[in-house]
Amino acid sequence: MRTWITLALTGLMATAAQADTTLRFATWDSDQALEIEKKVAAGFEAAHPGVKVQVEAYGDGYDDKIAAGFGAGDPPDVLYMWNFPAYQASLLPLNDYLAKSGLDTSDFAAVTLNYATISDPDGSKRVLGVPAGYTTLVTYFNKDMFDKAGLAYPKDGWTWDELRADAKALAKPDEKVYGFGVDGAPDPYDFEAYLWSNGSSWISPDGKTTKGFLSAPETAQVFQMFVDMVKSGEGVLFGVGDNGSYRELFNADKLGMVISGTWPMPDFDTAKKNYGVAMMPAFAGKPAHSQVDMSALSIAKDSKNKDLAWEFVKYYASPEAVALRTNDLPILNSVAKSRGLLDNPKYAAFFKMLPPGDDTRSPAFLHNPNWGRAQDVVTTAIQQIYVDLDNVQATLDSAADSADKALTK
Amino acid sequence: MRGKAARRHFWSRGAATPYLFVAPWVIGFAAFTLGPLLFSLYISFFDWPLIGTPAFNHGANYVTILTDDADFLHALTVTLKFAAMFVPSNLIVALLLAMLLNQPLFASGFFRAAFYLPSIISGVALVTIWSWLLSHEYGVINYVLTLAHIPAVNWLGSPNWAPVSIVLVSLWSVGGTMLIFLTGLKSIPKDLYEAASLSGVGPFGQFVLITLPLLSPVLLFNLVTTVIAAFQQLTLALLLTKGGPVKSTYMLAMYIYDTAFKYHDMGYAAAMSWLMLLLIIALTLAIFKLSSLWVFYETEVK
Amino acid sequence: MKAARWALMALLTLLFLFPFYWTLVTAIKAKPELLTWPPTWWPETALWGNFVTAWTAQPFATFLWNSTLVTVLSTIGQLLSSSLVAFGLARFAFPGRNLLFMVLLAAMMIPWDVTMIPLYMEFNWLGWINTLKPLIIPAWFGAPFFIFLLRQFIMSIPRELDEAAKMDGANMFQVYWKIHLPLMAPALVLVGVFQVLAAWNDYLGPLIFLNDQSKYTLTLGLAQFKGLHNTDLTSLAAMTVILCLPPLVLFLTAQRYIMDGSLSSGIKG
Repeated sequence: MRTWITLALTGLMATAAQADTTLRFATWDSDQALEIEKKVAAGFEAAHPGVKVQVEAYGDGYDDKIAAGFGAGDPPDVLYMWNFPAYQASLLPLNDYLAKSGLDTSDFAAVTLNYATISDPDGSKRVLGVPAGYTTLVTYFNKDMFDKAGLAYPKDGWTWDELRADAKALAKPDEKVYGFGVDGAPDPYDFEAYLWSNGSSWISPDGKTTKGFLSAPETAQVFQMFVDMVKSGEGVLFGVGDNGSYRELFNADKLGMVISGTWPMPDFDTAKKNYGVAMMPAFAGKPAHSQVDMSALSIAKDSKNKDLAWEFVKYYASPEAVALRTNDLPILNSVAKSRGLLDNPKYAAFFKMLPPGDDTRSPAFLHNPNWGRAQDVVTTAIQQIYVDLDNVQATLDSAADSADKALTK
Repeated sequence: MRGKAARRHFWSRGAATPYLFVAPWVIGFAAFTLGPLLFSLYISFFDWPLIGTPAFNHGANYVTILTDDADFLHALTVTLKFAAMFVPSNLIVALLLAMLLNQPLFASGFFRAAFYLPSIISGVALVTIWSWLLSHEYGVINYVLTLAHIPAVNWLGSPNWAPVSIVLVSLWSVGGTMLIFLTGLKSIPKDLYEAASLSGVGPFGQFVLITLPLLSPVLLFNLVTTVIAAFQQLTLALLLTKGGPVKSTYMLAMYIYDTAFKYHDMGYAAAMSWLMLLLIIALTLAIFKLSSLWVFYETEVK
Repeated sequence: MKAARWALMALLTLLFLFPFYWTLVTAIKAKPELLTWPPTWWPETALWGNFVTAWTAQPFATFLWNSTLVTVLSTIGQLLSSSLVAFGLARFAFPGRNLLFMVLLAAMMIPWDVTMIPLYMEFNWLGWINTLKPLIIPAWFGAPFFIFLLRQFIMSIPRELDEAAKMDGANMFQVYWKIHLPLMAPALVLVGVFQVLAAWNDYLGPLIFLNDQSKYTLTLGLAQFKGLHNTDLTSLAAMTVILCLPPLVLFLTAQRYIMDGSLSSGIKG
């Protein structure tokens, strides 16, 4: 009994022998991605004796955790970040560090640094994160199903009309076999790629209104196309009332094509699926565009070890560390090249979808700090459209009214 | 001098004893609840974007919520509708299960454990399984329905069915409430039923005349805590439907959570929390006022 | 009639056991098999080694120690304090009692969203962040839910028992300790089971108040299988099964005390 109490007390009181400095590093990753991050952290520790990198993995509780940390003034030193507008007030601007460091920013995948940059009302720009990994959107297609139907594989530069013809040929709605997976509950951030491809967007470039953008005829066309696909049986709606995983369907040869980032690749590979990867289809006469889904590393303004934190962030972007990261696309072009990914048939399409460095488009959340609320209006409108499978333009019109109200809240 | 004398009187007469008994909670409340609570009341009068400096806004949060926030009104309506389904169904199912288990039965320990099992499993795993069972195209439940020539239901994908589905799923974790009922049932003396039986009172009569009155303190407890649980319900909706489709399961607790942790509008979230708190307190007070009509205590300290 | 009741019980049991069964089956499947449609009811080859894989994927022995510490220490505190306070509320008429009771009820209704950040600040000021203290110490001051529950039980114990003890010269603390605690035993075991489950399965508290992996509890370890984009379903299911075994064993042992009529028969005498 006494031993037990002593043990309990030691457990409570223990301030374990600590390294000279502990650097807190918070991530939302799990599984293989987390293992990679731990390896990078270990590499940094090896190069910096006396430093312990405390990798804090919060999975999908990430936002709750760091919001509480920021609110109480006790955040991790280095954090995974993508939603810069939401956290910008508490992140350390990295402009000076970047300038001093001699980091070759031109080697970063195009536009990724732009997505981590906030423009202030006075015209100045703050870089709030250093990119760590990214993905673009591509079309995955099920080669076995294409072979069986005697269809030619999709080619880069193909169009939505071609995709719909293939989907129609693949679909057997009676047997619950479908040509294309229509995401019924898409993240508006990802969905904007379709709008860009059809010459539209969620919000005006000045970030003041969604009228004529969210409610533009080009936006309605995109939704109408998906609605038509669902109604005709070419496509299957997933994510509304189903447990959301197109991955099972794809693996079971019940789904011919789906558009996504690098995320489902490990699952397709584990299932030893015979699949191909092509660019996103284009709307007739308009080039296809993808946005970039990026993770970056940021430093908290309240960090007590800013210089050390920067050293870690810099190490994270070094070729040595980037080479370890195999769960998405390497953030350094040189590493992508040296790994031969640009010519790898499974990866080439991702790089072809990468927007050019001078692309002026950027995701809606960079245009208005209140986009978070407006985005929820958009999410609801999308659900409404897929529940009704009708009234597209009317739903978008009323959504634009509510979204504009949310922007000024 | 008089104060000191009065104090000595207070201690010597034993008038302090009750306060010593309740002291742990009073101290804990003062230490861990009161401060944060007052802070949240204070902050509800500010515009506080979580990060950055709070700015006093003269109660504008409350004014906006009550006069110009369609989302709040919507979330409140959804919450009230949910509570209207959740509270009676949970209480009735828990009571029925408890009564089933209270019968002399072979392997009753096994059944008790079986009924309680879903309450032991972590919420995340439960929800994963349910979303698979309720899946529109591929779910087992719809498969069984079509076998019986009943048209498939879009359980989680239709704005009409989603709230019902959440209530159905919640019934699965009714084990805690069931156990509390069961302990209450166990403490009702068997001879009361025997006597009633001898005087020719049927099972239903026994339920109304014996079970309900003697169970009423426990029933009151379960009623109050279930009402509170209904208003605080977040996990199920968050994990199962994310408040959708078309906000049909977007409840007050979720709106507060989003405002605080997604929009980082702490002042506004605090104001909504206080309004919700007042609403639940009012409801509970009403339940207690009415409870004197139906709750029967063996020994009440008046 | 009896057959009908048996059928009903069997059906209900099936309904309630199914999630557990499905979690178990998910845990021992090979990963590709998880992704097949229609799903298989029993894996082609049951991979019991998945449990070992999941357990060794993270320092679960450390997490288990932390979870055990939190659960045991918070439960002891909860039982002592909640029963004391419940007794005070149920057995004394004192000025402010009704107000106190209403405040107690109200404290159950406070949404955690807005009190969490100030609470974090307080714990940070006390130096408790990244220790197990925020998960243990508050339980030593009682919780409204349990106090309310025990109060309801004490109120159904006849006062004659107190009076008899007082005639024998017992003070109120002795009445509580010698008469009521034994009589409350079933309810206390119930509170114990609830508190053990609450502490064991708590996710939000550990998530917010703990940073370093060496302090993590089992639920935080479990959540690390669930990332933002990918979930390790097999390991998640395997750990879920392991995690619910201790409470299940506890419940199987404890239910005898909760349900045993002889223990509670004294109440109505």
